[in-house]
Amino acid sequence: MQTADDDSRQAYAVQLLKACGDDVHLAAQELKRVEQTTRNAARYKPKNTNVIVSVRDVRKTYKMGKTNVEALKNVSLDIYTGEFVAITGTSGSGKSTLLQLIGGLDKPSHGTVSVRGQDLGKLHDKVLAHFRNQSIGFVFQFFYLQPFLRLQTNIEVPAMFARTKRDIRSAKSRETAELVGLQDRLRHYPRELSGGQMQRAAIARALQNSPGILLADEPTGNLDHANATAIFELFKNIRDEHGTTIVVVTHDLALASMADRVVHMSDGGIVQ
Amino acid sequence: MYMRDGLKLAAAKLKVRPVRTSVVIVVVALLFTGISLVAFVFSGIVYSLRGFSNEGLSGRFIVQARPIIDTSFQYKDKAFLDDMLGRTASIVAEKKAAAKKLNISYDPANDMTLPTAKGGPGGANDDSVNSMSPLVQTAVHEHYAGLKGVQYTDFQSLAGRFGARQMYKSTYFGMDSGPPLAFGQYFSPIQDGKEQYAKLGDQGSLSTGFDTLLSNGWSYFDEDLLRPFVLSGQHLALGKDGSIPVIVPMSVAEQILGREKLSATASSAERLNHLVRMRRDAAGKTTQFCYRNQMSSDLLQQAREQIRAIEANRNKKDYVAPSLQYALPTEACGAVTISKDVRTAEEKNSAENELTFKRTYENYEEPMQQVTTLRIVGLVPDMNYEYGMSVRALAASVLQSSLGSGWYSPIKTVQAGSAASRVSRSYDESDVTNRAYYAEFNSLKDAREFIKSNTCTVKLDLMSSQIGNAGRSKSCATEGKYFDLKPFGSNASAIEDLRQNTWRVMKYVIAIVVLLTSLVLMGIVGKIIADSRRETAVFRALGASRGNIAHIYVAYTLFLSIGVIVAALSLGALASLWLSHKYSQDISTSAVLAYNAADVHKRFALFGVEPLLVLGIAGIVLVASLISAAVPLAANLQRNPIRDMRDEN
Repeated sequence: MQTADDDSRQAYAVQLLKACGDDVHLAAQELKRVEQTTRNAARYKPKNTNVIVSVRDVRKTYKMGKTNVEALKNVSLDIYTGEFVAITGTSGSGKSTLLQLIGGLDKPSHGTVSVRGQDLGKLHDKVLAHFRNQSIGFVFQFFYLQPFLRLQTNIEVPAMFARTKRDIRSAKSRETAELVGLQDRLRHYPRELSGGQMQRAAIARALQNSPGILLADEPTGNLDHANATAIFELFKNIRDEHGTTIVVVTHDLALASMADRVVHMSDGGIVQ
Repeated sequence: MYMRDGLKLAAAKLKVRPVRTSVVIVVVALLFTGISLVAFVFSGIVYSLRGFSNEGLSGRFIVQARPIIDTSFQYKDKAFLDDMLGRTASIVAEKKAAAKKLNISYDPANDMTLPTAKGGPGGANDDSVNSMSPLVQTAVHEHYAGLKGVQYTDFQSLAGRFGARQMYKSTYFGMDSGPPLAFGQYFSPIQDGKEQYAKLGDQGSLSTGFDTLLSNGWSYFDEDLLRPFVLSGQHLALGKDGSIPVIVPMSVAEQILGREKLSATASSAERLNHLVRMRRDAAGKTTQFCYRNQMSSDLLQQAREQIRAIEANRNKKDYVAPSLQYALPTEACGAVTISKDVRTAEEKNSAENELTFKRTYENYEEPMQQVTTLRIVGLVPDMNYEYGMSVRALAASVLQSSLGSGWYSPIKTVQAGSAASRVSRSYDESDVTNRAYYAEFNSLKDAREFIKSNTCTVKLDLMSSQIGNAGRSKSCATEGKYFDLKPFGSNASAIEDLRQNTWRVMKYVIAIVVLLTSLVLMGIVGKIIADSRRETAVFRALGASRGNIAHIYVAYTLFLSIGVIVAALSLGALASLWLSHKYSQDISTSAVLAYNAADVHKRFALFGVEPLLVLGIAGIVLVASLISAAVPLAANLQRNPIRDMRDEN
């Protein structure tokens, strides 16, 4: 009897085959690697069993032009405090949407997304903004630094929204810059930095308000392998030193394997 | 979010697209440049006007009142005509008897002194009042003196109720139609030691030069109204030589001094030099006129006609020369003398009887002539000195502080019983027809209120019997309005009207510009905000509330507005300064001439900074900018930032 899981695996296999240019051998190898990672994940026992993020039966539908796109289909996921989770999947699999729901940037069409037991779907816009500011740190693929602000000011932007006093946020920005290895670049403008430095600056910015969760959406998409690996090392370091829960969306399985756990997504669902 | 942080983020955003930002600022600034230009020019004019407000009468709020009087009542009033007919009958009877007794001929049809004459509007046999009759003139003046509401005391009482702080009066002698003084009297200029006679056979008109000089009349004013126009070192009292002080228009002074009138194309420097020279040379300059009473004028006329006739008939054998021949005066303003008298005793007796008859019945006066010296003590700008549509002409038409275009002397020189009073013997306190009264107020508002409250709403229409002179006088009296009122001495009222009308027009212009600017800004700011959706989404992800985002964009719009304000005010100020540089000299000269300014170097600038106006413009720009930013900003804040991020990616 064909189960829902079988259907999902079959669909993922078809996607994988397509991604591998119909090279069955290559696709089979990739599938085998994913299944191995998944088995590892299944065997994974988190050090901390406190669930910080709980995603339950979440569906997310949005309109693209005239058609409704179902980005997420009955997704359920728990993320534990201090966990480093990598979400992988092909383009359009719903991994960024899931990240945005966890970050309170969007609300699910169905189901609940809770952070520290708080259902984000029920929060008022202003409270949600405060939640993002204080509890979430976002890192984007394209850095999104303000080109005409010095690095230190760029790092301090989330603290500005939090009305943190200037001397406090200044000390904090120096601290986070040191954490990402940019303490000597605080007076520089983004255009004077390399790609890897800019992403590290974006991570420092994400950490400015000492959030419990760091969400990174394809943070290494614009970086070479060395820089990408360094960024993942940095994430691990942040998790280890500060206990920050880290959720990274990436399509690079090699990098993903550096995480404590890898969650594979395909066609809006989690592939187990 | 602290304000300084919002400003910091907005300022950083301002640098993102410097070219586009600059274009936005310049485009919007250009729309406001016109307004700021008008504001600077307007302020400059207002300040300049204040600077000239102590010149002439320009800073004073004076209302001129002319009594509304039916000056033709004597021709329509049946009772008056009947009274005069009765008097004519008795005078004719008396004169006929006296003529018979004196053995002289008397024909009432040729008697111009009778109160009535044939030849009224109804035909040759229609009886009509003879306005040249001294008796009629006296009766008419008595009638005017008895009129209610139009007397000086009535005016003083009326103006006092409206808070007038000072009242004045003047009397005008029309010089533009016929002899200026009482009927038959003459007032002729003496030029180069020679009396300028009127043309022969045309007694009603004056010689050409005389016409030009005094064609706009001679008026007597209370001294207070004349004083601002008195030249340095001059005074308004009768001179030791009996000279009558007189203030004349610049053009008259030019004629008296024999100066060429400046050409219309004269430069500002030439005009100022001319003014300075005229003031210097005209001050204290005397000019002489010859006053002749009616008998003296008649004799002079008779002598001139006789001499012409004798000359014309010199070679005609059958021509009989008059037995009594006159000679023209040997000196200017001298008496006519007899050059030859071959009359018979009977002729002499008859002439003597005629004279006795006239002395008894016709208020005969012995021939009298007198040299009258007028002393120029002041100059007034010529009315409508400039013509055309040039800046100079426009300035001159708006800026004017003058008494008018006639000659002006202090009223007390006429009342003093001096030689001057004899010249002006027709000055008659009871004659209100040529009288004007003046009330001076503390403010333009008070003056306007006085005019508004006391102006007769019935307009004069000489073609209509209902609202012709007589009808209007009656209707106005019914309204309790007895005077025609208008601002006097300066264009303060006109300038105020100009200011208000300018402001009225400006309000519409500002509204249109604000609307245009708002639309332009709305489009531009909308585009900027739309282009910044990804950035907004990032800020939202970093924890910015909608309020924080609004804060940043409002600050951003404020920066744009400040740029627009600075650019608009700078461009407006530069344009205003340029205009001032280009036209100031011309307008300054026109203003000096129009205001008769003592300081000929006083400047009239077209640039000035009125802080409230500048703040007003800045406020308008700010409001327009904020309004224009509000719509796209509100729309942007409603958007889902994730969708924007997704769209961008």
